[in-house]
Parts: sequence; structure tokens; C-alpha cells
Amino acid sequence: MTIYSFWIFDKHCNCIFNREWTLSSDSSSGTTNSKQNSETAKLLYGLIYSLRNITQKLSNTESGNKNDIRTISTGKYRVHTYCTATGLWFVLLTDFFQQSYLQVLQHIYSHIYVKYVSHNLLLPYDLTENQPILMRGQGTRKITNRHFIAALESFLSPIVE
Amino acid sequence: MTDKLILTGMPEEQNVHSTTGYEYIIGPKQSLPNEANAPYIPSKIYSESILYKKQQVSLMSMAFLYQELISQIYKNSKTSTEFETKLSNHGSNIGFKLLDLLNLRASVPSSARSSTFLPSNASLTGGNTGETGGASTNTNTSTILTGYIDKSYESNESLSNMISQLRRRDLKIIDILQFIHGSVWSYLFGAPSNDLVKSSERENEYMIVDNEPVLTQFISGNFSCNYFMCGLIKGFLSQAGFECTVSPHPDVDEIYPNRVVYLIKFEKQVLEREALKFGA
Amino acid sequence: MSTTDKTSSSHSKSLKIIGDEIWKNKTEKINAELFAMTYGSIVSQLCQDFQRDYKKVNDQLFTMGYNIGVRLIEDFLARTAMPRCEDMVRTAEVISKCAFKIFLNISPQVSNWSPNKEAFSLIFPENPLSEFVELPMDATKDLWYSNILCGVMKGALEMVQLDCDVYFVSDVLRSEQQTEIRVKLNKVLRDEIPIGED
Repeated sequence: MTIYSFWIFDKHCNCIFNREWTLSSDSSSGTTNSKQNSETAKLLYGLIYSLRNITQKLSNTESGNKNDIRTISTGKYRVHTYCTATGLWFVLLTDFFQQSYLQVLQHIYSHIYVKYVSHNLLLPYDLTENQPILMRGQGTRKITNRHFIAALESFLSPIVE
Repeated sequence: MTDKLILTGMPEEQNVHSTTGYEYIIGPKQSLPNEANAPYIPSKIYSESILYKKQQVSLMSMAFLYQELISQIYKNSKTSTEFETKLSNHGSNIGFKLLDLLNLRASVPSSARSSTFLPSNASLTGGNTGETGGASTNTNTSTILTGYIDKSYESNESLSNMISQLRRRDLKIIDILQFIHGSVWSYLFGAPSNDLVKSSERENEYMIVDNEPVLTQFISGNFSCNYFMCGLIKGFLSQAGFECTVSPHPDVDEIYPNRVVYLIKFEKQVLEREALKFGA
Repeated sequence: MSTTDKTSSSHSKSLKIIGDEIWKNKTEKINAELFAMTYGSIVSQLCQDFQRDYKKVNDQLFTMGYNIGVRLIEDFLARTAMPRCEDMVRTAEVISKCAFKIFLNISPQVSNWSPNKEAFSLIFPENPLSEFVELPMDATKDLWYSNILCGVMKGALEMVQLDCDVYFVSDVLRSEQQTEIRVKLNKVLRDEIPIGED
């Protein structure tokens, strides 16, 4: 059981944080915030976005239970997602073995993101605020807060391998 | 506190036009002449006990409000001194009030707080004002007022008992600092401050230590944000006649990354007075 | 019909339980009087800064509230892990039974629904912001003392894609019968879609 990469997308379809680990052998060689505007980021968001469109059409919304995407799995990978009511997506790419990382993603949101980003009055609540109009997946500022990154590292690194 | 309430009923003070804060001498809304016919609903503050009801809100609500206060002041200040003064003034506003409020509450014997000494919803200070308002009201609210006046009588008696038992005000520096360290801190944050220290180097300097300041715990790396509590301490002390300046100083370590020391420097005349009264 | 009524009432009942539980066991608390006095100091300073132009004070309090609301919503969602509400009826219940409970330990009453169920009122039997407060005479006409609450709700609702008007209708501080805030849905904002998908 291992994790490969972690992504946060904001409600404007931008990747505002990403962390990629290198496979097992050398975890320190991974990168932080290097792939925001990469094809991977856009494809990943596009995948989740399209799938969500389909699932919402399939579900019976009258019941109130939304048909949310939890994981997408392939022969070797799983993509775990957690979407907040404010439209933030937390995405984790892992190997095939563990069924659910929902609690991990919820923990990142409620104990790390909210603590170091939402409660930090020096950070804008919306990273596209006062920015040139480069919305909808074309990239914006990213989360570079060192407390956030440190807390995320210490929480996720035991799971990496 | 009682002085102000007596003034409320004095009509001859119309010539005063203060432009700031609450005008006690003009009084509450019911005295507006053109609205004399409107049904009068007595302000809740007169019918409620001044005793601490131990009501609470979420710490996060306070933290959000505090952060927004900080960011507004920050936006509107040109220098760091201006920022500190403005934030400190907000604290002082509260410190002024706490001196009277907490002294009064500290005068109520603890046995009485839970007994019938004061009904929890009875009026302590406003009984008279409430009755005056009651005389000019229509029948709509009279039922409310009957019960209301009954309670006022009851509590007026209690109040008169209390006045003779009022806690004597603190005259010594060490006594009033103990009160801040113990009673004020417990009232605000649920526990006394972590330490109260006298400077070994300078006669007029004292320190209150807070290992984990409640209000600034969500704000990292800016000690100026502690000026609110400095203002509160300063307001409390100067209202009691102990003129001083208060400033925050970081004293951080591994365990307490936010620890703050509030340095209190008393004015010279405060020490001179104390020397005259109590001997050096 | 009766089934839907039943589910909606059991829904709101469980919301009350959720709100009470989080308030009781998972919320750090602070003296409400410190909170009230701090807010009082802010309002009174604004009255001075704007030379008692109370409309400007209202606007400033609203803006401050908005700034708080857009962040407070994340804290709220982190605590409750709530999904988006399917309609305004549910939204109103969540605001009253969970949000106000968790942040201020009160549960304003939801009432005065518009026929299309898109606007409602919150009635506040108590208001921790206005503890100790009596308005000076010149402020009773224009000042909405607790206007920060409207801003908070506006900001928080907007972040979950609900564009609403939020405003005071009446306030006991102005010798009115009750304290009432109106929430009116303008529209549900659409989620943005990535370029190339539209």
C-alpha cells in the first residue's frame, strides 16, 4: 500500500497544490507544486469532472443522497477523491490495494487545510482573488505556506511507503 | 456604574452633545418625544442580572472576529505604532468596564450566587429605570412589567445589602495585579495567567506571563497582535488609578511557541503614592 | 405527502442532534461576554470613524462579516463534513440548528417562508452580540447593530454556490418586537467548468 501523488483543486478548476512522490526507493526526491499546469493535472481534473457529470445524471437527486465519486480504479491505480461543499477537490493517487482513503482526505481538509489556509488571515481565501483572469483550469497562485506543507508532509509521509 | 444610571433621568442636561460613544445623559430610545405613542419594550439590559451567567460562544467565533478586527486595523494603519495604539484602544474599552463589573461580581458571596439571594433574571442596577418606563407604557406590555417590577423590588433590597458589602478597591500595586492575574484572567479565559513576576531590575516593572495566549493562537509570528490584551490590562489599571504602559514581549520555546510576557511599567507617581501611603 | 413530512422532520431532528453534539463535545469555548464586548468596541469605534453615519457603519460591518463568512464556512464544513444542501428548506435548518448552534450556541427560529420556499426569516430570541447593548438615540433609526451576522451568512452561503440577499428586518435593540434576519435566494451559482469542456 502506497501513495503516489496528492492534488488540491479549487472551485475555479485550478490546481492549487500538488505533491508527487517518487516510487518507494527514494521518497525525498519527490516534488512539490511542480505540476500544477501540467497535462497530468488538467487530465486528472477533466477525468473527475466528466465522471461527476455522468454520476450526477445517473443518480436520483430527489432522494437527497448525491451520487458522489469516491474512488476511480484501474488495474494498477486508484484515484481517491473528496469534494467539499465549497467546491474544493482533494485527490490522492495510490496503488490498487487499499479501498478507501476517505478519512485521510477528510483529515487533510479539516485538520490541515482549514487550520493553515482558511484560518490564516494572510492567505487569500480564494487564490484567484485580485489575480488576472486566468480562471477555469488555466492556473493561479498555489499554496506555499510552509506550515501547511510541513503538516501535510508529516501526516502523509508514513503512508508513502 | 450607578452614577451613570442616576444621570439617565436628569432632563436638564440637554445641552451636552458628545460625538462619541453612548450618551448616558440623553438616555435610551423611549424618551424620544415623537415616538411617545409607540409601544415601549423595556430594554433587556435592565431586566437582567449583572451576575455572570457563564454563557459561552465558540472560540472560533471569537478568533474570526479578532482576526477580522486585526486585518481591518492593519489595513487602516500607516505605521506599526498606529496599529498598536488602535488595537490597544479596543482592549482598553473593555478593561475600563471590567474594573467595575468584576469588582461588583467579586463582592457577591459565592453562597449567594447559587441561592435565592439574587434571582437569575432580576434587575440589579436598573430597577428604577425600568419602573419609570413602565409608567408610560400601554397595556400591551404591562403584564411583562408587573413581574418585572416585582423582581426589581426584590433585587433592590439585595442590591442595598450588597453595597455595604462591596469589595474594597485595591490600593496596592501587588493587590490589583493579583486581581488581574487571578480574577480577570479566570473570567476571560477560564484560568489564572501562568505567572505574575516583579522585575528584579526596575522597581516599577511587573510581568504577566501567558504561555498560550488564547486570542492570538491562530495568528502566527506577529506579536503586535497581543496589543489588545495590553490595552485591556492598561485600561483596567488606569481606570483604577494605576497609570502605566503595557507592552507584549515574546518569550517562546519549543513547548510554547506563542508565549507572551505582558510588561507593565507603572508611572512614577504611582510608586510615589504607594510609598507615601504604605511606606517604602 | 406524509412520508416526506416525516423524513424532513427526522432530518431536522438529526440536524439538531448533530449541532448539539458538536457544540457540546467538539467545540472549544470562550466567555460570551468577552465576545460581546469586543464586538461592541468594534461597532462603537466604527461609529466614531464614520462620524455616526450609520449606513456606512452597517456596510462596514457587513463587509467584515463577509470576510469572516467566506472562511468560516470551511471551518464549519470541516467540523460537520456536510454535503451541499438540496434546497433552501434544508439550508435554513442547517444554518439554524448547526451553524448558529456551533458558533454562537443559539438556534434562531426559522419562519416566514415565501410561497416558493426560497426566502425565509431567522428569528433570534437571544443574540450574544448585543448583550449589554443599548443604542444611543440617534442610532436607533439607521444602525443595524448586529449587521456583521448578515455579512457572515452572505459570505458563507456564496461559498456553497448560493447567491442570497441577507438583511435585517427588525431588531429588539431598536425597540422592535423581535430580532429578524431575512435570507432570500437570488440564484444557485453554477459550478465553473474547465476550459475546453464547454
